[in-house]
Amino acid sequence: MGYEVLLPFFYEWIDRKMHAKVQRRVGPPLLQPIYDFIKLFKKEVIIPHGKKLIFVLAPPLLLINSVLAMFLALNRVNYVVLFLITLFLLDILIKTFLAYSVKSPYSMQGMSRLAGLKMALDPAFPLSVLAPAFLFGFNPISWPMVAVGFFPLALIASMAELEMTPFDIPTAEGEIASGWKAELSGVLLACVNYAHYAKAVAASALLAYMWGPNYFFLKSLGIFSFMVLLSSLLPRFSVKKLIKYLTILNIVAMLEVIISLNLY
Amino acid sequence: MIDMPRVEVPFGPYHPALGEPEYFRVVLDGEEIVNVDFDLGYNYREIEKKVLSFTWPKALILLGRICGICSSAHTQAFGIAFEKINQLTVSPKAKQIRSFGAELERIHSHLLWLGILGESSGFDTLFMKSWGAREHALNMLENISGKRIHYNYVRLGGVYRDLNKASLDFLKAELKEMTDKYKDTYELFMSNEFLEDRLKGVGLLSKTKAEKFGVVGPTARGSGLDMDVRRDNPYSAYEDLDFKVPTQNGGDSYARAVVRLEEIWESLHITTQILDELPRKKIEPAKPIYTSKEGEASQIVEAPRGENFHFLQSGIQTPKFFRARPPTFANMVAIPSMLKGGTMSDVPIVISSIDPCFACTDRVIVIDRSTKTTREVSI
Amino acid sequence: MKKSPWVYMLSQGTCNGCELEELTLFSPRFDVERFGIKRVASPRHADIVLLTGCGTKKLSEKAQQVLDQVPEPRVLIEIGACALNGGIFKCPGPRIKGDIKVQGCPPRPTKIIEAIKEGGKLLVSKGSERTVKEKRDA
Repeated sequence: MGYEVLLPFFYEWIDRKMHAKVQRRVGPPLLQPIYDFIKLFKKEVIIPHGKKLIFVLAPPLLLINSVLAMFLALNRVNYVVLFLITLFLLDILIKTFLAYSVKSPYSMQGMSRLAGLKMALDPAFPLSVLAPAFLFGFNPISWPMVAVGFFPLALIASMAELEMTPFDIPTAEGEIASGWKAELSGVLLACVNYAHYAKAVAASALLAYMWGPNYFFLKSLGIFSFMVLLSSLLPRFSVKKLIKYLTILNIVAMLEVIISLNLY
Repeated sequence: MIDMPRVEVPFGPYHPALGEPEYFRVVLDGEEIVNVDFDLGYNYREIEKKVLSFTWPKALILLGRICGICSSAHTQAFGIAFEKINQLTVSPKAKQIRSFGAELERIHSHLLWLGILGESSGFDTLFMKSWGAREHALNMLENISGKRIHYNYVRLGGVYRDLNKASLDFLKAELKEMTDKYKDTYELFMSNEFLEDRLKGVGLLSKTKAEKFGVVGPTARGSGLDMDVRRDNPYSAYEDLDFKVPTQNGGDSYARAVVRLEEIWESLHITTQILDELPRKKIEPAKPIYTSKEGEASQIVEAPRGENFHFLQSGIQTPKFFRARPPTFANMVAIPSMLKGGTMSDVPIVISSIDPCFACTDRVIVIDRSTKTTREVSI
Repeated sequence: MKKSPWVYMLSQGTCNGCELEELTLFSPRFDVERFGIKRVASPRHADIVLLTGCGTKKLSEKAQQVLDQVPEPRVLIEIGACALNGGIFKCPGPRIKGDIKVQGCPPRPTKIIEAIKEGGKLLVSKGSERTVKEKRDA
């Protein structure tokens, strides 16, 4: 049971190491994400002007949310699909609040606008998972191999959900003046980073279920590695394209759900 | 209909997408950019004033440091202007070495730009690949001059040192490696539809507008203007070299990117020519020159970003008056027009598509109309 | 602490030579990520600030503003002749003073890596207790 807490660090390592290998570099050592995490605890936390309480509470909340999602996904709790959908939506909600809590004139307006946008367009991932759920039941352990048909859409949708390139505009501090993550420091930043990868663990676990119940852990790792590979080979989408693609994603997901509901 | 208020969004002076500090004020009407104002001078280091008190060799060193990327272009322009005033002849081999270095600079500058473009579009892999190829260019520059950046291989009257056989072998090997790596990078860029999508249609500059604004270099060539100082006003060894000047007609960021990529191929071609045809005869390294005739001259060179213009009035020991008009200065004016109608996320892409070099750009001279004198501004 | 020094690049008015050599650190040839060195886009995430430039009039205050955003413990490394003493431009400044100095115009990337590693050790010794500060927004 204890090893699950370390999984997000391992996933972060896979992310960075794989990027490095594709780019012909060596990349960080295995324990690097843990070093980063510990280091952040020793850093001073700077809280900007604004709704300070929200600013301080949101990152730990995100952490709890993601860790919960991760545990549920790994332990195949009954109705886990429904739980995860709720938790992922909550995740976006908390981030939106975080973006609103900083009283900076322009960057936060931009970021909160984007967060709102994501919230409107993010049902794709939950929907893409809901579709097989309706057909095969809400406990993913019972999903047969046929569920693989839903995999491609779910894969793309989860990359969008996890804000992996090419969908990483919200955290792309290099584009819009400052992402919501830019204001965080110290422990708060550590929470958010950990939460990000915990979510990745949960999402790839869910996707792994689509391939049947065996060799579950290896499948999740494989799926995550594949997502990382894709993201290292693609540039970021601009806001216009993001909207376009997310809309398409949503429509297809909704169609899937409608179809599977009918078959059900 | 609610009248959306116009929002002014500052961009800079510090921004992750810009390498250097510079300040842009983007006026937005809702999502759409209506106007862009920019404020220069963040990198102003009083160079044109300081150089007046430097001896000639030192002045050359100073001017090489106007910009870390186009160091050779500045030293070459200044050196040739000096040589014009003093009627010095430069041996053909030295001229070839100068052009060699200049083309290496073009390659490394374009690869640098490609990497920055990759980084600011979230495409880290492009950054890594292009800078990996760039290292070879820097190795070669180090070989001919002793330094990776601020290579002082251009000296008054000649070059820093001759290239012996060991050098030549090394250079040929590095050139081959770099060509291979560049092939990878080129394919990575060209085959990537997402990147193409990101750049196409962004920052449009029509041919007429380009002419009106007087843009230079790849920015101009990307809008269909066929101009290149190396071909139109040859200097150093360019008269004897065979090369094409790539142009594109798109006028958008993608066109400018393609122009630069093609230029790298041409530069690789030029450098191979030079290495193969370099005269065997040994030349002496240029000795430092401390006195000059009085006179004035100007010289244009094709820096990686376009026409770089230097004007020099010489005293005997030091320059009497000096003015540089770097290419980015000419290209900046086109930015507001390119950004009109775009969105905030276009801003880093468009700005970096003209390959700005603000260190070059921040030159100041104050012309006092009332007293009809010019004076330098001190920091 | 010294296993994970996150680096932020700050310029006070340069020719970009030093910045280029700093950026080269992250390219495949030098690849400092294997030492845990990461480049961050926000000063709030930084441990080590690589300071370049001679301090132009327009940038000096802005650079200081950015620097105030870097949380403790932090180390400033002055990179290049300009940052140390105004360099060949002999800028009067004002320049921000740093903890570690790296000579060169620009210094070779290997020297910069050495300086960052030294900075990491300095960070460990500076290790202050985590405090919660209130700051003005950016």
